[in-house]
Amino acid sequence: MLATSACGTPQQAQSVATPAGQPLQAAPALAAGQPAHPAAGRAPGSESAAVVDYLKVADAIYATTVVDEGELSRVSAEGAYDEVVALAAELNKNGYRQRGKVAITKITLSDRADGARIARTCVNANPVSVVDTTGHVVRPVNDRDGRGRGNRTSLHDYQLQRINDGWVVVGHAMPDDATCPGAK
Amino acid sequence: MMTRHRDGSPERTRRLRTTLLAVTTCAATVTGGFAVSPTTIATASAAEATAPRPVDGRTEAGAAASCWEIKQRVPDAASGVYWLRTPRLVDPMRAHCDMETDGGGWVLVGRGRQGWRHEAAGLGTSDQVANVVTGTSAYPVRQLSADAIDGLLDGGRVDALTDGIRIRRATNRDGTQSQEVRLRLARRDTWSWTFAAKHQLSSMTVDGADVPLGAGNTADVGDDTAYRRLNTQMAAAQSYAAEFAYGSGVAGYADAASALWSKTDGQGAARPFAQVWLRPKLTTPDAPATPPGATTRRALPETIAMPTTWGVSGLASNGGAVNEMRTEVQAFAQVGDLVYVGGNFARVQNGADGSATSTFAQPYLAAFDVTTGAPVRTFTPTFDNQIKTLAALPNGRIAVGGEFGNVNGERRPGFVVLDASSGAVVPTLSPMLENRLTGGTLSVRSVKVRGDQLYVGGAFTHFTAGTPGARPVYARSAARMNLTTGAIDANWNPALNGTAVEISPSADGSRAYLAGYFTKSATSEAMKAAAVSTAAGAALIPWKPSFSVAYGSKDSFQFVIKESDNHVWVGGAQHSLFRYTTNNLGFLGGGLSFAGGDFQTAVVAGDTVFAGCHCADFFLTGMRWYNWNTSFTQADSLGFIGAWDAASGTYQRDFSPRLTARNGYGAWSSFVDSTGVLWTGGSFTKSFVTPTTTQWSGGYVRFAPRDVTAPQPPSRLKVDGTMTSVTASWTASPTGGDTTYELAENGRVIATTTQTSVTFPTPEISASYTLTARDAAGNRSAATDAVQLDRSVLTAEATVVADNSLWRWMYAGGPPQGAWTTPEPYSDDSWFAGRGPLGWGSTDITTNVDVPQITTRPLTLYGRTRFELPSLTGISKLTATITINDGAVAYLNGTEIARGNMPTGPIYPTTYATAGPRASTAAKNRLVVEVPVALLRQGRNILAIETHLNYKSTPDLGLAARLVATRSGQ
Repeated sequence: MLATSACGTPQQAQSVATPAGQPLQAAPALAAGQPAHPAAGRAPGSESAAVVDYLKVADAIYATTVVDEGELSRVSAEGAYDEVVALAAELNKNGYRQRGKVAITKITLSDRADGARIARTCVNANPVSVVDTTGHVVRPVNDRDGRGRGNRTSLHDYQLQRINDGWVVVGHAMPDDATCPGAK
Repeated sequence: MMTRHRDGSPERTRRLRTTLLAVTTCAATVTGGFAVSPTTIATASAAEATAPRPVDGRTEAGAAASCWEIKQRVPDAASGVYWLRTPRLVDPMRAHCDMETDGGGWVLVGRGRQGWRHEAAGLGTSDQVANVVTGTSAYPVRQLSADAIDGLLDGGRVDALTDGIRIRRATNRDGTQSQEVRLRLARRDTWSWTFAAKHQLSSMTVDGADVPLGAGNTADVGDDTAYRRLNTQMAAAQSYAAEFAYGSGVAGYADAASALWSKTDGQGAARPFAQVWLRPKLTTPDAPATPPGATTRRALPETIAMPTTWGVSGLASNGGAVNEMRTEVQAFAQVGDLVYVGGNFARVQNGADGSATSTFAQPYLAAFDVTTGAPVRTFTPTFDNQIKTLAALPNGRIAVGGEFGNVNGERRPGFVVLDASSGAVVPTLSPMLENRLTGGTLSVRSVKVRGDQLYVGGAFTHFTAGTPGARPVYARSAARMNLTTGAIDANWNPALNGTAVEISPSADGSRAYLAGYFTKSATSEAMKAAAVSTAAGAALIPWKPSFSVAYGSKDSFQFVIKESDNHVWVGGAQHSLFRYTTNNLGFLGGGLSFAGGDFQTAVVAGDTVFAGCHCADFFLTGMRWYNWNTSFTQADSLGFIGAWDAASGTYQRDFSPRLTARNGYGAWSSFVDSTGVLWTGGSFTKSFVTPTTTQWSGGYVRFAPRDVTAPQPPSRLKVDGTMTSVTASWTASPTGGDTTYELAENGRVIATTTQTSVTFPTPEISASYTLTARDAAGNRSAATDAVQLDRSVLTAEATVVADNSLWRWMYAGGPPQGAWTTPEPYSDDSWFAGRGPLGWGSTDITTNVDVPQITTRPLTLYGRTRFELPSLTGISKLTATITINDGAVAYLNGTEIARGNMPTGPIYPTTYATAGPRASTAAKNRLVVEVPVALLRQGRNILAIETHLNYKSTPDLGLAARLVATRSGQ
């Protein structure tokens, strides 16, 4: 189980590690009668779970290119939501599908100077490949440079936003040096 | 603009009072004296004429503005071919007029059975349309060009035709019966053959009975499934043969003679033989018009392809699915004299067969000579996956982007800069790219140069410059690299949350336009299209683009973004090509391809924007939404690639190529080389090199720029003639070549010729003439200075005695009794009568006067012919042309006027001619003499000739003469 830390204080990072490649666990499902927004009702302090959920939903969408808008909006909004929709559309246009799922090795939460809540996440995308409709591999596993070479473990900065009482991913960026600590 | 006749009256003031030159030539009556000749020479009094000549459509000079005008002027005019001319048409054109149906006045603009074309060029020539209108020989479709039809309408709106569009369709197999369909369009300015594009109708009748329109439009309308249905759509079941078809309840037959055609016998939705007629009610104003002057065609490519020399073929990356994202050709760039072609092709090939000697493997990237199109076999870089984009760089280098990982055996994912001559990698300008996103692939989709910066768009997250020690830079979906240092600008990252398919720096360098799948730039909304400052920080410029589908729809990704002067062009899903102003990015308009596909390539060349798509049907200008309502303002044929005016956005229907593309994937790249040739690439396999013949095309097709240079004007225009005919002559245009000269009279072209002179009937009033030269492409020179024709100085010639005039003749041995060379009271009633020439022994003799026995031949043949001159006023010259065979003496009213091959002194019946020329020699040496006018008499005149033999057995004899009177003009 992916453990997450409690809310940190501004400018104070908190890290929680998970064994590389360990399957992700989704955030708890919403109970009946909860507020309308799918992200609402999540317990405070579940930022890391929000990232986990987001990547899980994204993987599922990339696998079919069919966007489950309800599910996606449960875990994301704004640019993060659109990012998944856009890539799904592009994959569909190209006739591509994703195989495999990403894994999270570490999440570090922090508050940016502008107040945004950031989950710097080391994501292992090595298990992910992209195939076309015939199964032909167009991006193999363990591929970072398009040729199947390189460690695809990278740092991602997911911007979180608390909507109602829950956290959802609203933005996504990466640092210039996206190498996860300890990775090649 | 053509002005219309004020009251529509067929009567014109050009019923001219005429004055006879007072000449009647000898008549055909043999007995009873001279009759009035049917040939009279009339000259006009200029007092009542207000236009140079009658307008009846029977001659080029008399071309009418419409069939309707002819019918009004000549009510009994029969159906047939007439000359028509409008200011917009400029040159007179032969057209077929229906002068019977519903009052007549209809002009035929197209006819045929199956296989009508949508292109503005139509099919065939105007003469083909005019000359063959019925029968099986008219089954092959022939259509006037849209330009010609707009010319016949003189620029008038199609939807303003009160009688609409009339379609006569055969209703039975042998074509003996037909129906009349009338369509009125709700919105149509210029002509278009794109009936299948769903033009909105305002009414329809079949044989005069209204047909409820319902949801119908020109693609499919009717209230039954048989004869009261019109379906203009192409159907696979009918081999895509269009149009004017009946409903499924009308069977057609596959034989050549059937007026109802279907692909197989008995198949429904027959394609009938049909004629398309229009009835513009234009008239020719009397007032002078503005003469044609220098005009050149708009710069565009020819609509037919250049002959294919080389091409590319096969798919290099052919594993897995076949789809439109992996077409043979996807990029072009030119460095020096070489054009580089990139894509997913496997081979370079010459000719459709691709023989071993002319085909060689050169996957993904190859170079071709810009002029000859021949490949450069020394340029052989290697790639391991497809190329999506190319850009020419300074210093003989070329930037290459795509989905490859290795170049020349080196790891170069997605992007590389090559030496354009050797194909070697330029390491310092070849950064390493990464796509560290969890999903998707690494690709570079667009590279563009602006100043010393190379802008890159695609699917990536990090660049690491090719210089030693460089650190990675986060640059998501867009980046820029200094072309001098190779450094990646860490301060310019639009941070798009989706792939950038195209990036285009603005001409002033202040912006970079982006199109793709993204919706955000960093945290700001940037819906599929964005304008980003090129200043550090890549600030987003506010813009809310428009789409043909709901804003924000996942199906609204954009492939194309280009700047042209003051406009930004954005193309993509769904099927849209829209324009915006550059200053505030406000929406200007545009249109959609129908049924078509998304726009996926564009290039700006001068004042033209070329854009391509997987679309081979129509472009609907003004269409705003992807719902195929009929809100568009114009529908034109669009054959995978089209042209738009960069300033106005107007679709250029003149450029409408016909291409065949593998799986219809269409155009994915476009480029104009240094010679002005348009290259378009994709999955093309065939192109048309004439309107009806195709050639093999290897992935890409080239289109040469059309001739837009006006010929030099002709010079030294002279106009001179008589009261009956005028000859204009000039010095040819120095341009030479295939030049047609257009002679305009009072501003209207009355004659066209490839010669340097032309003769035409004398105008009824003094007139002004100008001359222009038009080349085969339609470019027109400046006009010559106007030359005036003053009728007062013209002369009129009248042939008062013709070679075939009626003669009284005597060939009886003795001389005629009395003063046989004079008029009354001498009577020749007892003489024989016959038409000239008289004589024997040659083929031109009309009346043989010979006797049965040569030995009894008299030596002299006597002849008299008479002509009437009611008035001698103005006659200033009289010329006699007399046949001398063997010898002859001619008299006018008793006075000798000519003598040939005869001795001097008195002439007797027994006088021998002094020479005996053969008839052919005599014909070439006729005696021409000026005759004193004073010999003429008012009233009856007598020309008498005695012709003498040189020897009795002479094989031929001839008596004939022509007498021409010349009258000065007034």
